[in-house]
Amino acid sequence: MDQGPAAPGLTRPAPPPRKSGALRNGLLATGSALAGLLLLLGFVWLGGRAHDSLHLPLPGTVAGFALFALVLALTEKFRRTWPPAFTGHVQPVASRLLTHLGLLFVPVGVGIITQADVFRQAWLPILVATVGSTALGLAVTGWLMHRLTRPPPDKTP
Amino acid sequence: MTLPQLALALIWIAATIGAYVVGLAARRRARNHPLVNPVLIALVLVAGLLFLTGTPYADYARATWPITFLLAPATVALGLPLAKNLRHVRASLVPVLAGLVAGSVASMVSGVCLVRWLGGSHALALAMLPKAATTPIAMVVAGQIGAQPTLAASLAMLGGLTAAVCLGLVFALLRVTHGHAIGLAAGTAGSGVGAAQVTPLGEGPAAFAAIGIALNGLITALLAPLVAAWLG
Repeated sequence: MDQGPAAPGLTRPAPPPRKSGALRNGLLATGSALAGLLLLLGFVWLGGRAHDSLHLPLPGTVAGFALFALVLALTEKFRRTWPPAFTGHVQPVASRLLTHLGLLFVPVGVGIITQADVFRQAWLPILVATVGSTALGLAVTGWLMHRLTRPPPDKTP
Repeated sequence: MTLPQLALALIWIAATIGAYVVGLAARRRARNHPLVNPVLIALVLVAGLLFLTGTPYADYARATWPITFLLAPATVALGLPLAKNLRHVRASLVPVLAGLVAGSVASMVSGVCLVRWLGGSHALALAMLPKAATTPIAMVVAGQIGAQPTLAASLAMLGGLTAAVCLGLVFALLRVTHGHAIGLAAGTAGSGVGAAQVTPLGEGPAAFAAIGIALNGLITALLAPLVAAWLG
């Protein structure tokens, strides 16, 4: 905006949005979401390739996740030179998938009904081990991090 | 796929999403009580529907594959919160990594030992290993170490609920008051469900919970095969 102040009388209210605008925006948003999903699937594929060809100990999707984090961190760093298209398309899809991650594993989770026998037979070890190891994990991480961090920050960033 | 099959698949997909929406509404009504979990509610509702209609689980799983298919890109999407909060990790690298690795190893080893000590089978101990990781990662790790992925997914969800329920008590007992430590521990031990529980505490705890979920997924994927090998 370096054109200087507009001459009086030249500023007109923006024209009302045309009817086709909503449809156009909707199509653009859908296209952007599809592009973002395709990019994420590209990382799934890349992770799978990396797992197969490099004999990584990481499962393909986890390798893809690490690669994706790396690329995102790099885009953040070189924001001036990287095209914003990548993060622009991929971020909304990624955050929406994560918000409703719970929904995505409902079909898998229902499979618990096929495991009813295991739960009936071994409910005691399952219960004690789940509660015990989860509580221990919470305690160890929380206590260690609390101890190793200098006195509480005046304000959480 | 014939037309009636397609219609039935769409109905099951809609029913799954509907059950989840009911779960979300119930959580809002219960003001985020940790036991009123939308996924748990959706599971119960869908399982009830399967029972009532006499549908075998395999048919339901086949019908809802598009939902399950999205788990892979969703796992990759975990890179987003990690990259976004990387500066937090860099700012307190040693406490974060020490807390994460120690907590992750403590959780894996204690889970395995408790199962074996109480007479649980080898298969159960293996499925218990990736439990602290977020469910989609727990499933792929289970597949890799030769555990039952469905059982591992169930245990991961049970672990998340446990963490959400008992984190308040654990931190009060140990006098852990640092918001970042609470967030990291909730994400590391309780993944998504644990993180949801600390989100109201503010941006800092939420960011560290996201870091905990992402990095613990990575650490579990790296270390679970080693612990599994040690287990024999």
